Amino acid sequence: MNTPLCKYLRTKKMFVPVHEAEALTEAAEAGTEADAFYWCNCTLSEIGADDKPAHLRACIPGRICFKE
Amino acid sequence: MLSWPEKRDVIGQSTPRVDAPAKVTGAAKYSSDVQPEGWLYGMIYRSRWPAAKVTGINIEKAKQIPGIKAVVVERDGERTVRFYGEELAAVAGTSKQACLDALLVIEVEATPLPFVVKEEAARNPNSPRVWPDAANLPEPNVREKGDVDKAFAAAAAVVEGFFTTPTQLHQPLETHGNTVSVTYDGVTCWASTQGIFSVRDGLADYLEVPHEKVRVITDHMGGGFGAKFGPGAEGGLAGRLSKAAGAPVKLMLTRFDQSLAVGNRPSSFQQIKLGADADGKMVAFEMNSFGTAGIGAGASSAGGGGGAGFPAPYIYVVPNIRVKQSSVAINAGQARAFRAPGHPIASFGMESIVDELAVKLKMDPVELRLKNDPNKIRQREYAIGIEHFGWKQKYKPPGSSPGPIKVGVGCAGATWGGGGRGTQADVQINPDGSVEVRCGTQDLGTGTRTLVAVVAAEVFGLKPEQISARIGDTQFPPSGGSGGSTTAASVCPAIFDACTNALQDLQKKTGVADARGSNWSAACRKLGVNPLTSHGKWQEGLSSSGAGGVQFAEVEVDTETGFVKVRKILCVQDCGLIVDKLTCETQINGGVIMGLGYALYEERVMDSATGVVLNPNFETYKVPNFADVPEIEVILVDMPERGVIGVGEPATIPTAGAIANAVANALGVRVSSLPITPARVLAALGKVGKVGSKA
Amino acid sequence: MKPFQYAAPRTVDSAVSLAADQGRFLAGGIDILGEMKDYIASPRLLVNVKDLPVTREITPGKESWTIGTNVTISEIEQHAELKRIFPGLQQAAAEVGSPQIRNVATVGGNLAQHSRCWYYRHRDIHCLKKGGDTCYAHDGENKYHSLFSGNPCISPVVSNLAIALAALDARAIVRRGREEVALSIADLYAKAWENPEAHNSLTGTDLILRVQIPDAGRRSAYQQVSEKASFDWALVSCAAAATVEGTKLSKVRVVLGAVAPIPWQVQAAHDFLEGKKLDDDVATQAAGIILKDATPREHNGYKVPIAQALIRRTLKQLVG
Repeated sequence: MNTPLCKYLRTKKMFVPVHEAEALTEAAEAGTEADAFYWCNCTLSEIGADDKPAHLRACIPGRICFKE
Repeated sequence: MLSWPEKRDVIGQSTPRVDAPAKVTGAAKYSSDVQPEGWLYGMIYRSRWPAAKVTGINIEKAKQIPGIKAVVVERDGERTVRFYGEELAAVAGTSKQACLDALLVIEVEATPLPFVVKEEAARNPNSPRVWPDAANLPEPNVREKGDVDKAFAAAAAVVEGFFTTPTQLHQPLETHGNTVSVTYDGVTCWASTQGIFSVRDGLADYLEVPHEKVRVITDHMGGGFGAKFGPGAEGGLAGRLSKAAGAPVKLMLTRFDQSLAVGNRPSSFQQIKLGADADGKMVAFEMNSFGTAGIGAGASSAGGGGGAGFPAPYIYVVPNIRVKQSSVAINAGQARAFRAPGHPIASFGMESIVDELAVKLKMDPVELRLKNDPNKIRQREYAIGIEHFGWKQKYKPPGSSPGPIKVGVGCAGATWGGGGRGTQADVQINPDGSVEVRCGTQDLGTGTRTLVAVVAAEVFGLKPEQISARIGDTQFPPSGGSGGSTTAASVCPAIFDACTNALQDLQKKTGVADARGSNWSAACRKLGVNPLTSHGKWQEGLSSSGAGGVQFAEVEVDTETGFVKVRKILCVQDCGLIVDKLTCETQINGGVIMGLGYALYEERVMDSATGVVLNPNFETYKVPNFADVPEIEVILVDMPERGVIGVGEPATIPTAGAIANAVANALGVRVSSLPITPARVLAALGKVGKVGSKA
Repeated sequence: MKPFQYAAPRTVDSAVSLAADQGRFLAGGIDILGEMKDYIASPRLLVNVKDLPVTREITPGKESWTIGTNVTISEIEQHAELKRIFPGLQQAAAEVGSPQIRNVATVGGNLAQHSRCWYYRHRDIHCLKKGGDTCYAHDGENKYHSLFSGNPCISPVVSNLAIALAALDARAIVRRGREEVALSIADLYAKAWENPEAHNSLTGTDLILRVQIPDAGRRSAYQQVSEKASFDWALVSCAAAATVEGTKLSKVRVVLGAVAPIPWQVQAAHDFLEGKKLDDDVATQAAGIILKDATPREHNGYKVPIAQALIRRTLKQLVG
């Protein structure tokens, strides 16, 4: 995907080198292994600084707390 | 390209854990045991509302409690809380009691909001919304192949079923938490984590310090099962408390808190239809499913998995499929990755309907599987299992065993990826012959430290106890988080490479042609007074991915009381090259026991009226005890030619499906919801009267 | 938990008078400490009764056995003579909690323990039993709750010993005011039948001193079904006692646990069984009488067939 993502968006797969490349992709989110859960490193919570959920499709430019 | 030695003296043997003496004597310090000088207790104030608008949090009285050194608010300004247990503030003090007293006097101004905590209620368009601008149930993720309707129309046998699985809690024996010390020099964190570098990454961003200023240490930790990546809200709050108090803060969650906000396995409600031709070849599969991953769904996940997706039709090849899956949001803590995410859910539903198909076709369930699961390894494992389990003698038509206590058998299969990448390691050989191996991995409880020692001992011709395996520190060369069953396959090749390099360096420097084994001490003495250090990293060719595994279960069911006793589980499991047979087997035992808990006992219970988790403890969130654990027989299919793969997850996948099939075989009727409790067994047998009726 | 004071009196008089001012008795501590940690109870004073004289003895007598209030569950479980004479009591003790709990939990504490209802035990739920307006279990998660209740609270009695002791016609000797009163097990719990806030009939200063079990030469048995094989509460428990000649029963008692706020026994069933030769049909009819007025709720109807099975099995065990 080409949309830039917030630098604070995290998901487990990013920290598992075998899966790192697929971590922040639509395929992983639509995927079937029920491990596409996200958190925000700014809040260390599933909820971002603006009280909305951290998510692959939500942590994008235009969001008030977005950081490149 | 490097390859594992043909002849292996240490690798593949049963090596007891190198840290076992430290663990049984209490010398091993777990993250929750660490007590740095001047440390304070930390505790979290959590929402008592399942949903509320929070307009003010007053911490002044809490600050006045004797012994309290710091109080912080989780975030400033107005906010909405969306589940009972969401973090609102935190306190640090010189005693646990001071913290408890402080929590009692924190004052929160809040306006309660409507909430919903049950999946089926949350799906109703009129139910309260977890996220105001999005329906609780987003558009499903759709996967389609072939012409399903046509294939069902032409099928010789069609079976349908509705299966449900509960929200399962991770419940590691060591709860989530960290001890964090923030000083001008930087941050030190003793973390109960499965990813020390993920904790460093989170703390660095949250506390706005450079990565190199954050050191994370995990010597020993008590389980994570997928939920312990990153520092979590509790780690961040401990950091802020430490900074405010000027002292290290240990913030370990209580068991109560553990049940609310640090992850779970999503639930599922699966409507499944499966069709086959007269020979038992599957031709059509259709599934409509939903489940909840807690607050984590809504508009942003429309058309995606939303966290509650899972593979279907799992390990079976069906030419025509239509799968619609969605996640429904509820006011409860969000799901996280949980040991083989998705797979136990998938396995239970699919393996159940496969057995229903076998009954309808009057076909042996294993035979039906062999016809539809082309995986060569599982085919081999089923063949081994049939023989060892005595399947042909034990499998009888459903419900045919005599007497009130009925016996039944069942089986199920699994698939998992595993594999490895991205680990580096240093080896230091000292002139006295001692060896230190340093690697920034962590032992999730599976025996990683022992694997490091085994591989190094193999290369040097030494014994594992002669190796000092140093892991669990971000000052060591980096490794990945322990997730996806990737630790063994990531770490072992790196250790092998580093040790191979070290051996070559030693031999070159000392002129000893073969420094291994009995030559070791003499060769090392030739180093003089200075140690030798070599580096290595993960290499292609020493690991691969893709594990199978099948399990057979034998149960007895008391048809008068509904009590299920599992007599035996046989697990036939591959995982490539076996590094330590003993830790491999014990890891499989753990997976089977966790699967047993999923099958028979575990279920988070939410209350519709109050929105709380009703069973935030081991009294009513039930996990297996020793008395519940059956005979577990593990047959390892060693495939050294494939390299190291990893076995943490596959072994927990098929257990619940195999037990459910064994229960159905015993009873002649199916309990189609987990956990299979006495209540559900008796209901399936038609022995439970209607509500309000006299007995 | 909230701060509290602590006293360790050496006489019953002193224990009872200390408890009068917002005190609670402490013996094994299994129940009271749990309530205090969860803020269900916040007594001003804990009165440790473990050192009271003559409370730790198991004493045989010509007509009855006496078990002191501070005897631990383990001591009952492992007492060879008790096991021979009152097997039902020993079996009930063996099913209590875990070995660690049985080592410290006491007879008095087991009998006086409070509700395990998960609404009652939740720190943030103010239910009917805690003086609130609503029994949330009624229309909520009631799989562990009662089939019978005389009041709107449907949390059941969970003391294993109470069930076995009721079947054995035991009496609890209770210090009440200045007197010692002998309460039948039915009397010991009667108040919980009608009063939603009561766990038993004891007031805050009533102290169980000992139990007396008549040695009437009757056989006894106890069985329970739980979700797990060990360290789990009974979904339903059943104790029975009777004089047995061949298969003929007399002086029969059958008592169910975890189905009502009191040990559940039905006189009509005892009358029905008197003098009968036990067979499957008789046992099934007795179960029918005992369960006649059961009113299952949404999630606890399964307790009825379990109770039926346990009644049959426990009676069978008496003659087996």
